[in-house]
Amino acid sequence: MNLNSETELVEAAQNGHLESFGVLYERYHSAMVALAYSVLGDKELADDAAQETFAIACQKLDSLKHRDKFAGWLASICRNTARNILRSKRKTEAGDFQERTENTKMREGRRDLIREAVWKLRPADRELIVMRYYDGFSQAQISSVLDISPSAVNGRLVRAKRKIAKYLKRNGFTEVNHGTDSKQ
Amino acid sequence: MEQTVNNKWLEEALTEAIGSEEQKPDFEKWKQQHPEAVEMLTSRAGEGPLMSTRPLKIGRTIMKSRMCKLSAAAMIIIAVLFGLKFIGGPDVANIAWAEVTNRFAQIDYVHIYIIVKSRGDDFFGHGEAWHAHGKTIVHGNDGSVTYDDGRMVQYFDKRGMLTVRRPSIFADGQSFLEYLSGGFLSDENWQLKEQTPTRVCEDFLIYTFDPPPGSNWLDTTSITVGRNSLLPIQMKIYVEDEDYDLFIFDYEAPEKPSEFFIPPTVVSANCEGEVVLDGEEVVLNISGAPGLKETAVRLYDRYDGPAEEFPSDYISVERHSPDFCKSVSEKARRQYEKKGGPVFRLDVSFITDEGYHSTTLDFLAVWLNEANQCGVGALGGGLDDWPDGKYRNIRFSPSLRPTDREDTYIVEIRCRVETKSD
Repeated sequence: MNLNSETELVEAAQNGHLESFGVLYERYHSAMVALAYSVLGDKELADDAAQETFAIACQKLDSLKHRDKFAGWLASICRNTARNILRSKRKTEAGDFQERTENTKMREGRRDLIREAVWKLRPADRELIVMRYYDGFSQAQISSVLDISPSAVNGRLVRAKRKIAKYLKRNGFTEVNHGTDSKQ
Repeated sequence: MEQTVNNKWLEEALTEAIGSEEQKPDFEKWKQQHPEAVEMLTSRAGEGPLMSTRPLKIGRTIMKSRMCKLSAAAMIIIAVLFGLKFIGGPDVANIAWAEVTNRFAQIDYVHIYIIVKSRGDDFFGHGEAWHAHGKTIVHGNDGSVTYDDGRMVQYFDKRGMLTVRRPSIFADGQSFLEYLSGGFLSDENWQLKEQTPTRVCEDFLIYTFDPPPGSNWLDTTSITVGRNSLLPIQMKIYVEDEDYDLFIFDYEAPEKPSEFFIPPTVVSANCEGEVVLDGEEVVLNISGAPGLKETAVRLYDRYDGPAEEFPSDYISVERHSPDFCKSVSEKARRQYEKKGGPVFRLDVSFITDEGYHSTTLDFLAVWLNEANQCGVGALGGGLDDWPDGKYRNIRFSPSLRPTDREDTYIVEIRCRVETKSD
């Protein structure tokens, strides 16, 4: 990532240059959708949250003092926006999701079980896993968006995956039956 | 040392379960959907320096000529020789508070010593808290223990009685720092998040926050943060006068075993029975709470409508002033807004071994499967409530759970009497 061009983009956008904001939008849109998905567990809502995130960012951009922290700032707007959506939908969507995750033990749906394992993680770890596998972000991209060092991203991804593997194993899901399922 | 998790099957399974088809961002569409945001941004054109509004050359600068490459290499060598940080080290004076909270959110384990200097009576209290892998335990200075597993919070008083059980604030997205600060250090507070250190020292940074507007108890909050780790070391929340709550963060304390975070088995309630919504008062026998014989309960006023239509006179009791009822109703409305419905009203009164009746606690708003600490008697209604003039304060926590029959619920009450000898 060219840091100078990013701070220049932010500065230009702060001064009303819409095309610069457009570049930032295209650069971070997917990351924000993934981040919101890690909170909401729903792709459509995550997309709504990402759209709303950019609308808020657009309106509050002049309050951003540290232009080199744009990605981290955007990510915090996105988390808050997603949490607000989750709160307002808690009685419906989020509740449904909780119910789904409880029911998976009965249904033993493979995807649901994996999602359940992911959603059992701490929010900070879940963010990383979702960003890594939702849209295939590299560790460097995740590091840039979440503003944490690449080595920290790597370490936390390893730990999070270990937790997921442990959870899946405890629930009877292993490499063997993953392979079996895949062939069906 | 980290063990590598390099399971191809797990990678495939994760991609399959949470992977998404690539969606191309469509800025044109976004612009059409958010005209107000666009207008707000473009209206700033011309306010800033001219240089910033010029079209930008976007993309990597590629060093094509040999001379350029040599010049760049020379610059790097000079920078290294003179000990300069080429990309620029963190400008600690400009580190926003949001960075500290982000770092803290990534911590797996922290042990906190809590010192309460309060409140003008030379009182010093000590507590401890542990926050590990999403679970929290707080040992209060009064002997109470709070267990929070990230979904539910359970509060046990000094005698081990479960007095509060309700959804965790962490389930609602609050951070641990927000919890410690009584809600002040909110992740949603933009001003706080942007704030930079008020003091930069050799090894640490100090962030100082003004009290929130309208606060009548909280004064300045001062937080010392490690300069390299960007983790809080100490948080001092000044309250009125010179009293304060001090939190010391210990990241090196040995981790407690997982059993430590499991709440004790809750002993059965002192009384339990069925109540019918808007039905007759039910008298339940109390066991295991010396001094108390029976309790009388009544359930009514179920509300499950929109929060904005929550009745302003939900709590309306003749023996209380209209202002008091209004304020209690408003508090119930705010809770309803957060938790949703249904909400019920529950009347509770107690009968002692001597046959004395306590006043009725008739402004309780209760939610299903939650318990809250309540009191009636000496503190709730005054000493005069008891014919023999003795001090008796009844602490109790009612909870309500549904049955498979409409309008029939199980009410469960844990209670005890506090006397002067306590």
